Amino acid sequence: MLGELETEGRFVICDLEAGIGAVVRSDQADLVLAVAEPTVKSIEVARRAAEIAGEHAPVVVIANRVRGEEDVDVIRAVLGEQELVVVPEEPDIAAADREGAAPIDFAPDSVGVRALVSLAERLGERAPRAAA
Amino acid sequence: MVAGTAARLLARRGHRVLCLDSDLMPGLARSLGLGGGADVASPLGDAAERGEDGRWRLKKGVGPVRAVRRYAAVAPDGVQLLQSGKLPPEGTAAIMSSLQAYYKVVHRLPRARTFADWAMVGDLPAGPRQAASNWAPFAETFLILVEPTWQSALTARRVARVVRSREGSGTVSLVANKVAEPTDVGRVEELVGEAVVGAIPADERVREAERAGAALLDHDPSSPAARAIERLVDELASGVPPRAIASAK
Repeated sequence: MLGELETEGRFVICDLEAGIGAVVRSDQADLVLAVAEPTVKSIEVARRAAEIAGEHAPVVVIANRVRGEEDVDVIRAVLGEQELVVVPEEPDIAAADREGAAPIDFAPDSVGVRALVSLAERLGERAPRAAA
Repeated sequence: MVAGTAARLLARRGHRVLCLDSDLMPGLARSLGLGGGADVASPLGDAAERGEDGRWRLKKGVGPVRAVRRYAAVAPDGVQLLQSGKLPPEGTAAIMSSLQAYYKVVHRLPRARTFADWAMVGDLPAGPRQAASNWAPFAETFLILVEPTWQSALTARRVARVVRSREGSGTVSLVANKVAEPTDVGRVEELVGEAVVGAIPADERVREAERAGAALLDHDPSSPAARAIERLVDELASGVPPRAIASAK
C-alpha cells in the first residue's frame, strides 16, 4: 500500500505499534524513526528495531522523555551509531495525552513540542517519500 | 513490572508460581530479577514439530509438566518463568516452533493436575491482539492496567470487551496505573466506564528500576508502587489461591 501512496511531494507517516513486529514486515519506508525511552527495555527494543530497519532505510533515533544529559548518554551508549534527536520529558505533553489533545494544539510553545517541530522541519528538508 | 512483581510477591507468600511470558519483546525476565540474559529467542524451539498433515504439534512426551521442568528459567523467590520466545530480526517465522509449542502448552495448563495448586501469572503484551487469540487460557482473572490517558483507556475498553466476549473467560478487573494526581482514579473510571479494583501510583522508584533493568522488589521493595501491587496481590490471593492471573495493558 505504501508503494501505491507514493507521490511527489506527499509525506506518508506510519505510526507502528510498539515493538518490532511491524518493523519486520515493513520495508517500504525511506526513513525510520525509532523511539527510545531511557529504560533498559525500551532501549533494547529500539536497538532491535534499528538493527532490522537499518537494512532497508536510514534510522533516526528519538531519545524520548529524557530528563537530562545522563538519560541521553544511556541511550547514546547503545544507539550512538544512529543520528539522535532528543525530546525532553515534558509535563505539557503528558497533560495533552491525558486530555486527549494534540500536543501541538495543547502546548505549542513547550520545549517538547518545539523539539518535535524542529524534527519535522528537518525531516521536511530530507524530503523522504515515507517515514515510519 | 506489575506481573513480575506480583509473581514474586505470590512466591514470597508461599505459593508455587509459574510466570508465563508471551510478549515477544523483552521485559518480564528483567522485572522478575533475571536480567536480560534470560531472554531466549526460541526457548521451546525443540518442543514442537510439524505432523504429516503440516500442523504443529507438541513432540511426544512433551506436556505442560515436562515443558516447565525442561524449558522454564528459575527466577528469584523460586518463580518459574516459561517464555514463548523473543522476536529475532528474521521475524516470527524463525521462532514459530517455539511459539506453537508455548501456545499448546498453555492451553493444556488448566487441565494439568500438577499445577492445580500453583499460582500462574501471565504477562500479555499491550493491546487486544493476544487477548483476542486466547494466549492466556489459564487465566481466571484478567487485570487490565489503565493509565489515565485517552489512548490507554480506549485500549483497555477493547481488551476488556474482547476477553468478556469469550465464553468461559475469567473475571476482568481494571487497575489504574501510573496514577499521579488525586483525580486520576476517577478519570480512569470515567474514561473506561467502570470501577477499578486498585490503583498503582506513578513512582519514581519504578522509573529508576526500569532504567537499571532491575526488579522493583530488588530495587526498592518499600516503594509506593511495590506496596500498591502488594495490596492488589493480597486482595486477589485472599480466600482461594490465585491459580491464574494475566495482565494486559
